[in-house]
Amino acid sequence: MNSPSFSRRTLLAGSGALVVSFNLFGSNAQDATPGASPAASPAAGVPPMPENPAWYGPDQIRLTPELDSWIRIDDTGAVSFYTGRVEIGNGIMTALHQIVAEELTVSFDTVTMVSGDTNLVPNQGITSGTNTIGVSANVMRSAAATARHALLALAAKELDAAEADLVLADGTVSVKDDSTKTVTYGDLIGGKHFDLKIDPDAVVKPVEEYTIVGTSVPRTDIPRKLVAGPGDFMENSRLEGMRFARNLRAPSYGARLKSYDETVANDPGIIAVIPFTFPGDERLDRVERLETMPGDFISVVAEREDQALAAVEKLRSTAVWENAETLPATHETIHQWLQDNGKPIGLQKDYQKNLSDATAALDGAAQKLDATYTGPFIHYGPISSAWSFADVQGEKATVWSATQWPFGARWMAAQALGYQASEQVHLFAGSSSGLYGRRDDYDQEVDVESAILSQAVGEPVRLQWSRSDEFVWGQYRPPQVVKLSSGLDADGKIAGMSAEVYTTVRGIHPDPTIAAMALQDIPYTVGPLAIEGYNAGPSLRTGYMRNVFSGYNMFAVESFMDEMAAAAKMDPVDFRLNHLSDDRAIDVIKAATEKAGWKAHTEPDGSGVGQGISFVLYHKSEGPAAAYMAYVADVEVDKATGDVKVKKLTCAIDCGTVVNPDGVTNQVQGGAIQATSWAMKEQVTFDKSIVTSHDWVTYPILTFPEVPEVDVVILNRTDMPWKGIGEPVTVPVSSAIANAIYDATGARVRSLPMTPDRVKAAIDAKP
Amino acid sequence: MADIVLKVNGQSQTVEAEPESQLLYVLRNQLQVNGPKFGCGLMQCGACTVLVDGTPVRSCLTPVSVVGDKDVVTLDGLGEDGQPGPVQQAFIDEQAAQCGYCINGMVMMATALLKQNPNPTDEEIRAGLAANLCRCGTHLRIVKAIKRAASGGAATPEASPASSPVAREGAAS
Repeated sequence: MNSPSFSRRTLLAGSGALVVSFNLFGSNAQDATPGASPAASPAAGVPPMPENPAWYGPDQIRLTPELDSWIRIDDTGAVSFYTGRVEIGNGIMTALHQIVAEELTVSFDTVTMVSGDTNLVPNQGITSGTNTIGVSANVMRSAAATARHALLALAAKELDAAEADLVLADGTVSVKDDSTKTVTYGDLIGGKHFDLKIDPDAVVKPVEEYTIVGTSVPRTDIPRKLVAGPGDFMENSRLEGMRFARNLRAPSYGARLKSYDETVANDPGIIAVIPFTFPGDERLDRVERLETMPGDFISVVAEREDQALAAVEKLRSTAVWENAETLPATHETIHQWLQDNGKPIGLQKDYQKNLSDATAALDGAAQKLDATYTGPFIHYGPISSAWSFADVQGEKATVWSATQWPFGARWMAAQALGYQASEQVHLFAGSSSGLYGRRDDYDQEVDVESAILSQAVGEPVRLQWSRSDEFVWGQYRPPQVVKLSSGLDADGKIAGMSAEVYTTVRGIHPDPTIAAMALQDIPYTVGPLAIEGYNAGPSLRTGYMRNVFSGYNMFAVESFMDEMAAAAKMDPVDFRLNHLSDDRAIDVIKAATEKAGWKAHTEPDGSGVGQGISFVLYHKSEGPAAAYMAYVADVEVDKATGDVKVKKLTCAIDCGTVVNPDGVTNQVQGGAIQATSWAMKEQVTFDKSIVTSHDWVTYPILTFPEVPEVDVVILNRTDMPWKGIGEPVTVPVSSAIANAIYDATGARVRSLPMTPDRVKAAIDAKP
Repeated sequence: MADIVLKVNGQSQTVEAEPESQLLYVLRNQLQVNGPKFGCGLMQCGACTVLVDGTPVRSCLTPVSVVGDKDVVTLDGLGEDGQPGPVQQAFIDEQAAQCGYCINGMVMMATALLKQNPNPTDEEIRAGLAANLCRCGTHLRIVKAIKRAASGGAATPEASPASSPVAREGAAS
C-alpha cells in the first residue's frame, strides 16, 4: 500500500550515478565527545565507530573530498546539494540552502537540499553543538564556491572569453556587454561529473554582494509541516505490513525481571512478547556505548498499536520484578551529594597558581563576597516521545529515525543486528519534534531496540516509547553546584575570583572537562581567576542538553555580577560595563538596555516590579557558536506567594553575519521561552530507585498564559563570520530573571528552578 | 473484532478495530492520517488533537466507540500541500513553528476557537491554548498567527515589532 515516505529520496533525476565517497572503515575514528580519548580499535567484524567531523571543516573535506558527492546539477540547471546535517526544527536547512544558493549564484528555488539519507549524504557529523553555521556551512560554501569557479572556467572556454569578462546571474553565465553570448549551468555541466575535489581556499563571494543570505527567506519545511504534507515528519514513515511495538520497562533502575505472564503472547494480534535482560542480552551488550539505564524490559510486538498497549498493561499488572535501589541521592539531596563526592576534574593546568593568586587578591580586597548557586537535573522534554521504525531483511536493514547523528545511529543499529559493516543499514533521518540534544551522541537506543525487534520477528517494526518511558528512561541535563568567591577593590572593581563547579556525569556524557567552559571564557576583567570542577558520577543518565553546562555556569556568574554590583553600590549595567573592553559586548548591552527602557538603579526597587540584566558571550568570538547576548528581564513578583510573572525578555544579540534575520528572531524567542520554563518550573524528581517525574503533570513546563513577551534586537555584524546561536540564546535567561526578582523584592534566589516557594523563602530570609 | 466505520475528513472509512481502540492509532496506523501526532498518549499535551463534530478532542485516549459516526476532521482535512487552509496559511505567514510537532494541536484548537470567538484577544487565545504544550517556545508566534487568521489573513500591526534588526558594519577585525 504505502511505500515509505522517503523512498522518493532514493530516486535521483538526471543521468549519471551520484558519486558517494563514504569512509568504509573509519580510520582512527575519533570519539564523538570532545576531549575524550579515541575509541579503541574495533574487534574484527565489528562495525567501527564513525568519525564525527562536526567541529572541524577540514575533516569533513578529508572524509568526502569529491565535489560530486556534494553537488549535482542536471541539464535543466536544477541543483541538488547533499548535506550530512539534519533539520531538527531550528531552520538550519533553510539557512544552509540560502548559503549554497548564494555561493553558487543561483536562485533559491533552483536548489534542492538532500539530507538525512546515509546512502547519499556526506558525513558532516552530529547535528548539535551549535556548529552547523560556524563549521559545516563553511564547508558547504567552499563546495559551492569550487563549483562556481569550475563553471566559470567552463563558460570561459565555451564562450571563448576571459573569465574577467564574464558575469554570473541566476545560474547563467554571460559575456559582459554582449548578452547574446550566454550559457547556463545546465548546458555546461548538466548530468555530468565535476571530477574535482573541494578547494577549501576557493575564493568566496563577498558579503556586500549577498542577495539571498541576510534575508528572511521563509523556512522551506514549515508549509509541509502545517498541512501534514509528504516528508513533514519522520514519525510518519510507514510500510505495508508494519507491526507496532511497545515496551514494559522496569519499576526501578537495575531491576531484574523474575517472571511474567507468557500467555499474553497468545492474545489476539500479538506477534511476539520478547523479554530483555539488560545488561545481559547479547544483542544489547554488543552495542558499544549503549547508555540506557540498566533494567530488564519486555517488548511487545503486535499487529495493531492498541493491542500492543493492552498487552503491556496486562504484563505490567502481573510481572514480578526483583527491584533495586541504585541511585546515590534523591532530588532533594543531590546537591549535597555532589559536594560531598565530587572528585577534581582538573580544569586549569595552573589551578594551584591561579588559586593562590586569587586567594591573595581576595585577602587584600576591600570587600569579599561568596555565594553558592544550584541547578537541577532537567528533562529534554521533546514533545514527541522516542520512537523508531526498522525493517530488517537478513543482512540488510532500513531504519527511519529521529536521530541527530545519522551515521552514529546507523552504526549502533548495525552493531545490535550483529552486522559486520554499518553500511548494511540504510538509515533515514529528518525532522521529528525538537530534540535539544536528546539524540546527539550515543543516545540512539530506540533505533537499537526497533532494529532488534524487527530482526526478531522478521517484519518491519515501529517501536514507540511511552511518555513515561521518555521521562524515566531517557537522559537529563547534569545538575550543578557553583561556588563563587570574589574580592572587590576600593573602587568596586573585581580584584580576583575563584570558582568551584560540582556536577555528576554518567560515563562520559557529557564530557566533564567542559563542566566550567562558560566560566573559563568569561570576557570580564576579573583579575586572577581560579576554576576547578568536581565530578561526582555516576548517578542518573546524563547527556548533552542544549547549552550543556553553560546555563548553570552563567546563572551563577551573572547572578554574582549583580551581587557584586550591589556590594559596590553600582547599577548592574554600569558594573558590567566597568569590567568589559570588548566593543561587541558593550554594544549588545547598550542595545538591550535601550530597547528595554532600563532604569538605572543601585539598590532594589522592592515594589514587586523589577528589571534584571544578564550579559553572556557564548563562548569565544572565534568559536563556531559565538553569540554576544544581553537580556533584560521585566518581572512582577507577588511577595506574599513568591509567584513570579516574567512579563518580558528583551534580547540583543550579535552573532556575526546574519544569514536569516527571522530565523535568528525565531531562535532567540524560542530559546528565551524554553529557558524561562527551565528557570521557573523544571526539575527532575527522583528517589533512590528511579525518576519519579514521569509525565507532564509531574513535570510541568511553561504554558501559554505564563509565556513572556520577547523582544529581539539583532546587531548584524557583516564584517564578522556567521555563527550559530541555538544553544547560546538559552543561557542568559535564568540570571536576568533572578536579577529582576532581586530588583523587585531585595531577595536573592540562588537555586533553580525559581518556584514560588523558593522565591517566597528567599523573601522571608531577607535580613 | 468488528469493522468500524468512521467519517474522516469527509470520507467514510472502514477499519478493523475494537470499540475501545484509541482514535489516534486508528487514524494514524490504519488510515495513514498524518496530522494528529503521538506526543504523550495521556491527553496532556494536545499533539493528537482532532475535531469531532467541530469540538476539539484528544484522540490519543478517545475510543472509536465514542466517536461513532460523528465527523472527524484532522489537520490533513484543513488543507493540503500547496493549498493550505486559512488558519494554516496564517501560521505559515507568521512562520509560527520551530520543530512544528505541536502545531497540529495548535491549528486544530485555533480552528475551533475562532469558530466560537472570531475575534479573540491575546489573553483569550492564551487561555484557550493553556493545555497545549509547546517545548520549542513558539507560543508568541502561535498567538500572532491566530490573530492573523482572525483578521482574515492580514498581518496585524504591532505597537512595537518583535525584532529590530540593526545593521552594524564595523571595521574588519
